[in-house]
Amino acid sequence: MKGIFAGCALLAVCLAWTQAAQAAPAPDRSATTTGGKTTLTVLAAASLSEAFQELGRNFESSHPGVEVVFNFAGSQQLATQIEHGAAADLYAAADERWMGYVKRHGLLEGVPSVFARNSLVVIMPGSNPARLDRLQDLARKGVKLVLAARAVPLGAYSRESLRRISSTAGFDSGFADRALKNLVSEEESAKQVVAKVQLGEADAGFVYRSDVTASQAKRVKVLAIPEGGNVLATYPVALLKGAPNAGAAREFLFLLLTPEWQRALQAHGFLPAATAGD
Amino acid sequence: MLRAELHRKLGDFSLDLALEAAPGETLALMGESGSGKTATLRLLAGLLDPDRGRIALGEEIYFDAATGARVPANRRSIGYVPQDYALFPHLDVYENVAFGLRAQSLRGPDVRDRADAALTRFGLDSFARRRPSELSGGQQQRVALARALVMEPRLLLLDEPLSALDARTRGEVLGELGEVLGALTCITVYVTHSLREAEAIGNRILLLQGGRIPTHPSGDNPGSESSAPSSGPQPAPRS
Amino acid sequence: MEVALRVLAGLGAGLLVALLALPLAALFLKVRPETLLAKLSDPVVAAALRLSLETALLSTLIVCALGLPLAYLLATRSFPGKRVVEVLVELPMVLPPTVAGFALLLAFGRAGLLGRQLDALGLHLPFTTLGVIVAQVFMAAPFFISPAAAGFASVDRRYLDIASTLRASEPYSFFRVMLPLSLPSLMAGATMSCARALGEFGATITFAGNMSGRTQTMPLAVYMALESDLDGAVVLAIVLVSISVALLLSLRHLHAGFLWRSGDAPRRTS
Repeated sequence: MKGIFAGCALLAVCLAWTQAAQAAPAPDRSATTTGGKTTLTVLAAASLSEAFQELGRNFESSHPGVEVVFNFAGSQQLATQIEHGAAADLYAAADERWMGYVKRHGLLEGVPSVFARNSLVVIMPGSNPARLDRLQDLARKGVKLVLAARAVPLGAYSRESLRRISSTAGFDSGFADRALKNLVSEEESAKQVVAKVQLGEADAGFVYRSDVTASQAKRVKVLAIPEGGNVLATYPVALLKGAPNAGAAREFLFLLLTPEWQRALQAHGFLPAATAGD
Repeated sequence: MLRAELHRKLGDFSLDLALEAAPGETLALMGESGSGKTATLRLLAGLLDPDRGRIALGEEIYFDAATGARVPANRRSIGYVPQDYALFPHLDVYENVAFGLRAQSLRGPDVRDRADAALTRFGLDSFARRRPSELSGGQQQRVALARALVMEPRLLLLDEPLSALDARTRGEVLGELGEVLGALTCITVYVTHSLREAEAIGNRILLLQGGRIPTHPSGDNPGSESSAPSSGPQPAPRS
Repeated sequence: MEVALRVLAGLGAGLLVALLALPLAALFLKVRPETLLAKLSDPVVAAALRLSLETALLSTLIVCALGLPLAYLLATRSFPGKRVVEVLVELPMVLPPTVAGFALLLAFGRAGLLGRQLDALGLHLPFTTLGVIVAQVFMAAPFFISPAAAGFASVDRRYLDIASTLRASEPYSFFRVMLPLSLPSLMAGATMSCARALGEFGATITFAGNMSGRTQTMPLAVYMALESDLDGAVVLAIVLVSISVALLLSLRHLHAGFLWRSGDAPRRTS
């Protein structure tokens, strides 16, 4: 009985503390308009989180009346959310497939435009437990490989990349199959692949180049994928039907393609939208 | 011989008494509720340890505070019938009676022979496969007695065995019980608050008051001095 | 005033029941029977179903085997640090499962605290079915241990006392008195922990990963299917819900008519 009271007291204290902590800085999320501010809601692929957060801050400082709220998740989850009526202004996906899905359901206002590309890299734990020296080693028996699940854009890209690598010089045609035999887990997102590798549980994993952030770079080793074996992920963005704040959203869309924002995206490991891939 | 000197504090209550009984003898321990009757039985059975004192049954020392000797309950030759019988609700009558025999890991045929004999002796044959909940109070009491006696204990402890019965059955059972106990060769300590039971069952009656036995034991004439209050704690063992 | 209170209480109760019932109804309304049958023969669905049943059953057995002695100690002994153990045992109930999975990785992963020792024993937990079982045991154990300890503690002392005057050793008393008398609680605990193991998601996907046939249990398959094959997800969810409902129903039945009723205990007199 005493324990319950103590627990309740502790809970109350925590609650009070978090409320106080929240009161200090401006509230993170709010309804579409609060206190004269308008809110721009952006649904963006998880791999965009670091880059978009920076861009969001830029946007807020140049548009004082607007607050940018992001919802980062797998492109496929976001598509489902939009399908079921999430009120948002912009959708930035990590592949054309899920943008197409949303478009087919008639939920886009206008045409999607590609604003960034991303390439793939193979990462390994800093300690490199499987002693992988070159990409060919991924097909060696006993290597623990993790990929994103097939339904996740990164998962589809990773498999496509493996297939392409098989037909580049220096690899044999069975490479992809043998590497896929080493697959130990299909993760739900790029971040999970990074986590499994970074913790040293997996020997190698396919991730976006942009996932190897400055802080990650210290903890993981990167194996580059040869030109012909890589896949370029394209990031389309579009205005959503019924966007509550279409004006600010169009502004954000425009800025994404300006040289300044493109440079910011590149600083986060993305490739420019303009290079027409292979 | 049973020789026991028991001292035990239980909260505010303190039990200080000495008992002595010879084989074949039935000692009636009489007292009001709260006088320490049940505690006395639990001390003898080893379910509760004295703070000080000594318990000896024949040549076996069950407890001796002076030497630190202590025989756990499950190695004392004692049968215990608690006030509400505490028959195992999940076992049928036969298994209740056979419980102690099996616990000693006797051979199967021996268990069967002795359990069957005990059931017959207490007229329980036709109830062997019944659950305790399907029995009357009097039958339950017989099962509890059979369960204790099948072990052939040297000391039998009965805690108000008739109090769970209604008044009419009580009269019948009292007669039966008197016969059964009269035929036993072991020592019996019979706890009751009823003078009638004590007189009918006991060879000797001890009056327990506030954890003490007030005056000198009184052969077979308890009525005359039962109400005399004690003047001092006199738990010294008699010989 | 009283009428208003009654109406309000009724409304509140109805609202909560609706909240609990409607999502389930929605699941069942979403799918046509022929899709249900077709999806059940899908190899990925079948593999997940099989893996789930096998691992949940096995981890329940492990939880029972290891939990029984612990519950008994907690119910019958006092020892230094008992409170700590009690809290430890209940912790997984309130821990976010993904946090549990992460902690399991830090402890038993290849690079974890015991990684090297486990490796020397040839035991690999992450990305293996064994890891799924460890995650389930971790998450499901409290659902057995707490009721089991409560069950042991509620066994009337008198029966144990009598058993010891009948020459029963402690182990003998345990098996012949304690265990059967607390069987309803033990079965209830085992059922709950089986249901919990069956529904375990976060710790499994974090600790054991997600691989069809090896570590992809039903809840993981539902989650993955949500992203690609909604019909499959719904079918899997229906199967999962059906098994859980069956488990919970059997639990009620168990309580209603088990071996003997509490009223069967000997009358207590004062």
